[in-house]
Amino acid sequence: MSETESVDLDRLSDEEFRQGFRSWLAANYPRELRQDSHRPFRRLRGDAAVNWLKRVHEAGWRAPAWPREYGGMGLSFRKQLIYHDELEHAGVARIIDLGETQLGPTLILCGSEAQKAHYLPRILACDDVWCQGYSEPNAGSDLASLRTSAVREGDEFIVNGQKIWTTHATDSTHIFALVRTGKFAKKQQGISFLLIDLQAPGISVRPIVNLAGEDEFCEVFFDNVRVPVSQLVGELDQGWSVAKALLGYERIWIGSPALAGKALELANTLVRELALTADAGVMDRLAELTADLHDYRLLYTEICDVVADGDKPGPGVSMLKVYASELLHRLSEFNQEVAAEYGGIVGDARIGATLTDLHWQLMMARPVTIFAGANEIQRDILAKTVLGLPGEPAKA
Amino acid sequence: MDDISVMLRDSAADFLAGRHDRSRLKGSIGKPQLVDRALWREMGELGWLGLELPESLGGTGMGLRESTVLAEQFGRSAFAAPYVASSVMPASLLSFAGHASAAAELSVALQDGGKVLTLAWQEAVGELGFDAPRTRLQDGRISGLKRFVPAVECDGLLLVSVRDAAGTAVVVVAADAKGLTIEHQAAGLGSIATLRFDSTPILFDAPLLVGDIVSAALQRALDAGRIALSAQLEGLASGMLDRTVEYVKGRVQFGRPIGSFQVIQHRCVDLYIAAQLAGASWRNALRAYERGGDAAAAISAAKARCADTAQRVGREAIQMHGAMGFTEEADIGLYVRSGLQAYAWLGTPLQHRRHFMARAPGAAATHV
Repeated sequence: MSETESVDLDRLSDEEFRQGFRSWLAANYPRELRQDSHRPFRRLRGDAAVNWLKRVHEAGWRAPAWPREYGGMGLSFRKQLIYHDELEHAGVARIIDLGETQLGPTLILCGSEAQKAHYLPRILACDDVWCQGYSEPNAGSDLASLRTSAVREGDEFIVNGQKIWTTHATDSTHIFALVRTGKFAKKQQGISFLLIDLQAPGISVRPIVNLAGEDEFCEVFFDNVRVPVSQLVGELDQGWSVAKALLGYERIWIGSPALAGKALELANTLVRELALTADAGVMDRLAELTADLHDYRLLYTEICDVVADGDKPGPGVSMLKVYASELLHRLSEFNQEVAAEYGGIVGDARIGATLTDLHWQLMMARPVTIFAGANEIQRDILAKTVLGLPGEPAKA
Repeated sequence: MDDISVMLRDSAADFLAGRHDRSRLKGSIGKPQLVDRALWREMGELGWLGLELPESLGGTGMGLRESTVLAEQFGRSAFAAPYVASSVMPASLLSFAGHASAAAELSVALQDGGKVLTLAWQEAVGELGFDAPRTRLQDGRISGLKRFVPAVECDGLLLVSVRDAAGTAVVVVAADAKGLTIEHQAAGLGSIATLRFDSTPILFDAPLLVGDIVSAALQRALDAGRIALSAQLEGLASGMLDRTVEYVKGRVQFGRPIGSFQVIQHRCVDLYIAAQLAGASWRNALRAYERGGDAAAAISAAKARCADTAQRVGREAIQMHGAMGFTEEADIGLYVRSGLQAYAWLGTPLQHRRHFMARAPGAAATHV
């Protein structure tokens, strides 16, 4: 029996819940894995991630958003916000756990009973680790142009094609992928959502080194890979709606001010260590960034409150991702710029008592404006859905 | 938004649609504009003036929350009435008044819109507070200089911060009193004035406020004013954005609405996000003010954010309106001008951000 099963989480006040999670994290999260000046946006992957998630699972703190009947915590949205807040507060490294955050909720909404019974417990126990196969070399922002094909042959699909920017594919056991199963006038139709074992014959994975020197994302190649038809999620050709079912919530979590908060902590540390606190030019820039994060947290909270009160996230949540990611850019740039010569060092630098890596934080802030729908795409969405601006006229 | 706020918002929108004629504000660049007294009295009849007054002074139990609803709507329409200067701030100050009969008489004049009240607290450029007024009170007469005072009508009532042998006080002076010289300048959609007092007699024989309460009362009035002004500035920004979005939807060039061009769309989206941040910021300041604790950081953050946002949206709105945006025929100029005065009055964004930074939790250090 886990620690949280013995208490009725719904009956805890928000504050009691917060304190409970806070003290559990303080007692259990390894100090050396915390986000700090050296790795303000630290991520865990591979064994480190799995070991931590197993510990979280055993103690009953796993999958805050999943309903309890599927083994999750079944937290209200309000308590989920507190949960994330406490992770940030404790400096817990981020984990790209797409099984928990994306595939699980998708299966709960659209999966078959057999898929739910088989996969959900395995996600919680980290028996399976999932990556997401959406983007392709010619289908990035224009995702619906994807071409990886799945052709039915008896009880199997034969999958051919290539995925790219697949984060942590080398650390994963499975991939959930969007594949082309049919051709229709509207390119969003004819896409299907498939669950694929990465051990299947015909799959090869090649890591790609990013600008921070890490091999987080990969190319995944499919060469006549056989996938049982039981691995289709939702209806054939309707995978686009399956993938979009969670989009609003995803944009809320992506808009979290947590990363910007860590970058601002580093900014304050740098300003102190470099004795810049009497420099009005530097301090006015820092004040502007501080005020930007302050006001953004307020806007984020207002929008989360609306969702916590029961409304579904509207198209306006796209603005969260846009603002949070660009604020992260500006903060990481401030850190590199005020550090002067230190900012030119590629790798670790010791500034006073602080060990940091300004190149790493600058580069790791870059992709946030690109992934999960580049900010240009988010602005397109906002222009049309929130401001009601007209689309491009049809070509004559 | 609660029911009362929704009702107020809707009745303000109706009133502005019917009674506010923006064309009357045009063609007077550089000329100080006095208050439209007929409109001001109508606002009194609608029960919108003096919302911050306590029930003992005829207040209705409403307060700053309701005032911000109105102020935001006034911003959205570029309404020229000095609502913040002559309703929010005087009402807030009167609620602390020790001189009961004076407070009662002034409250009536404020609420029915018969007189225009305004605070004269500032003495030099760039002042955020009023700790040591140099204007002196002696034997029922005051002498000194007050600057940047909005909404001074020739029959107006001035609430003036002064000091005497005992400390600071607030006195009431009639704008048409002997020994007072008023120099108006155009500012925003109205005016600001320099006031020179030379043995000017005070009204009611005694100060309105004296003693320890003066400092807290003035601070509370400035707080309330800054929050309501922030709401008005966000309203200006949102109003300009709405107009700009409508304009780019209708303006056709190269055979298509210019609002279908991505470069225009993305600029509008950025302004929309900026206006959303401004709204979140002043609403937070309002909640902090209502809680009654230290709201200084929240209020400064809001005033800085909203003032900057109104200017930014204004500059972009002019550009996206093209040559039309540079003319006095378009309404954008009125919004921008209104925002310019509110940008600086009660503290500039630079000052307020420094003030905020000095109080922000976790901030590295302060240089102010």
